[in-house]
Amino acid sequence: MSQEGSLHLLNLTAKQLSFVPQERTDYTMTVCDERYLVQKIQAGDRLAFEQLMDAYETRVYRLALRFTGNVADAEDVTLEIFHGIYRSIGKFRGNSSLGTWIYRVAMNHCLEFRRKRRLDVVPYDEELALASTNWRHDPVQSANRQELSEKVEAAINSLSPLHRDVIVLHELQGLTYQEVAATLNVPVGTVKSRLSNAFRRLREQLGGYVFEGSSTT
Amino acid sequence: MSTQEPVGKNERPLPQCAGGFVRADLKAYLDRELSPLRRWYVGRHMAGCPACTEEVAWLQRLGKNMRQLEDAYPRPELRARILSTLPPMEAAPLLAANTQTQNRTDGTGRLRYAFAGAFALLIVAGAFAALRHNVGRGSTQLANNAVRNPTYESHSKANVSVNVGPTAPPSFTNPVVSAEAPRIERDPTSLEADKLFAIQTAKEKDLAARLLPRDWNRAVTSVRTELTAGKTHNTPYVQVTLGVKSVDLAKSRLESWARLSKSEAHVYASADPGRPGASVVLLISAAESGALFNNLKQLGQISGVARGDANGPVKFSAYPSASDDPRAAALPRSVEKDKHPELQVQKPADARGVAGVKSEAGHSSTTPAIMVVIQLGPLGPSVTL
Repeated sequence: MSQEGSLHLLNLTAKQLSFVPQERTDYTMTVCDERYLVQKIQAGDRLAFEQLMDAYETRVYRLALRFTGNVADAEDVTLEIFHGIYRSIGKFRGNSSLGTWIYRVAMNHCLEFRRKRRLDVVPYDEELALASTNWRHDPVQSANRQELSEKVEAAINSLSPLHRDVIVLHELQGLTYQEVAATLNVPVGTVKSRLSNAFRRLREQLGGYVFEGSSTT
Repeated sequence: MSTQEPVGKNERPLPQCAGGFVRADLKAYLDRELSPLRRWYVGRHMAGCPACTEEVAWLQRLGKNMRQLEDAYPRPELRARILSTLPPMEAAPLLAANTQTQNRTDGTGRLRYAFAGAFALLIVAGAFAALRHNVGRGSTQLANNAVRNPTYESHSKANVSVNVGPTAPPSFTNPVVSAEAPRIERDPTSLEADKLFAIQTAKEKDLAARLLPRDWNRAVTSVRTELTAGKTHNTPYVQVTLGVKSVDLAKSRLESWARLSKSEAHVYASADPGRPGASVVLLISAAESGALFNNLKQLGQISGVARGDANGPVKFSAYPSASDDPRAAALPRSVEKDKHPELQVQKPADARGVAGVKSEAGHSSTTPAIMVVIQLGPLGPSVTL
C-alpha cells in the first residue's frame, strides 16, 4: 500500500471505540529518582504523583487482582492503595526503597481485603482470564496450552494464604527474597522455606505436566 | 538432537534424589539467593544428580509459565478515578524525613553520619572536660542542673562545690552539650533489601526516559481522541525517535512484531547521507500501543516522543526499492517518489470511509488505527543530570 493510502486509512470518519484495555508501561526508577520524586510529592506536586503511578500502577493492580479475583474489586483495592500511598507519603522516611514501601502498603490493603472477605482460597474467576489481554498470544492456541494455564492458575489458588503470598510477590511481582521479607515483615529464611514448600506443593499438583520450553534429547 | 515435547499432560514419574538435604535449596539456587559457598555446594551436587538437575529445570519452566499469566492491565478510567479522588495528604514531618533520607545507605550517607557522631562525641567530651575545669569560675545551666539534681551529683566523679552566683544565665543553653545524636530507627531487613537493589547513579539514567511513558500515553491518547472525535482534516500520528545499535536489526524486529500483532508496517530507508537510519511506519490499534512502547524500549534508546499531524511534513526520506521490500513492487507509482526524498503528507480528496487495521487476510476491522512513525537512528549520548 502506498504511503498516501496508509494515511488515507486514518483520515476518515471514526466510529466510537469500544473499551479496549490500554497497556501502560511501568518503568523502574533509580534511588535518586525515588528521592526526588518523593520530595516533589511531599511538596504537593500532583504530576510527580502521576509519575509514581506510571511506575507502579500496573504492578499494584495485578497484585490487587490476585487477591480479589475480579476486576471490580481489584480496581477498588488499587484505588485504596494509591490513596493510602498519597495520604501517607509524607511519613515515608527513606529507610527502605520506595518500591518496598509501596508493596508494604499494597499488601496491607490486600490482606485487609482478604480479612474482610474471609476468603482462604481465591476462587478461579473467569474475569481473570478476560482481564488478560495479551495480544502476543496466538489466536489459535492449542487446547493443551490453555488447559495448562488453567491448571497452573488453579494450583496457585489452592495454596494456603502464606504460601500464595510469597508466590505472588516473588514469582509474579518479581520481588527478591529480601524485598518479600521486608514487605511481609518476616525473616528471609521464612520466605525461603515458604517458597520451597509452595513449589513442592505445586510440584505435587503439576508434576505430571510438561511446560513450554521442555525438550527431549 | 533435541525435540520439543508437546505441552500438556504427560504422565512421567518424578525423579528421586539420593541426597535429599539439598532439595530445600533448589528453589533458592534457581533464584540466586544462596550464599556463594552454599551455591557452589548445591551446584556440585547437581552436577552428579540428574533428579535435582531436572527439578531445577522444571522449577524454571514453571516460574516462566506463571509469569506469563501476569498480563492484566488496568483500565485507563481507573487512573482518572484515582487522580480525581485523591485525599488530602497527611502532614509530613519534612525535617525528619529530609534528614533521614539524606542518611540512607548509599555509602557516603553512612560515612557522613559516622563522622558527625564522632565529632559530636568529641565536642561532648571536650565540653565535659571544660566543665570540670571551669566549675566555680562561672556557671552554666548544666552546672546549675548538676547542683540541683542529686542523682547527677551522686554519680559525678568530680567532687567540687559550685558557686552558683547571684544570677544564673538567663537563657543560655549550650546546644552542643545538650545535643543528642539523632535517633533513626532502621529496619535491618529493609537495609539489606536496599543493598540488593542495583543502585544506579543519576548519570546512568536518561532524564528524558523518565518522562517518556507519560509522553507516549498522552500522544497515543491524543491521537485516539482525534480519531474518535471524527476529525478528518488532519492525520495525527505519534512520532518516536529511537537510537539503536543496528538499524537493520531494529527494522527486522519491528517488522516481525508487526506481523505477530497483525499490524501494518512500512519501512523506509533514509536517502539522506547526513542522516543515516530509517523510518518505520506502523498502523496499530490502541490496545497494542503499550506493547509497542515496551518493544521500542527494548530495541534501543528513545530520545523523543511527539505528536504530529499532517500540517507538518512526515519525513519519509525515500520509498523502499524493490530489492529491499517485496511489497514495493505492488506500490502504486502515481508519483515519482524516487525524485522526492522529502515527502509531504497529502490530504486525500475523499476523507470518508472506514479506518482500520488490516488483518492478515486483508480485511479491515472498524477499530480506528493509530499511526506510529519511528525514526531509527544511531545511539546518542545520555542526558547528564
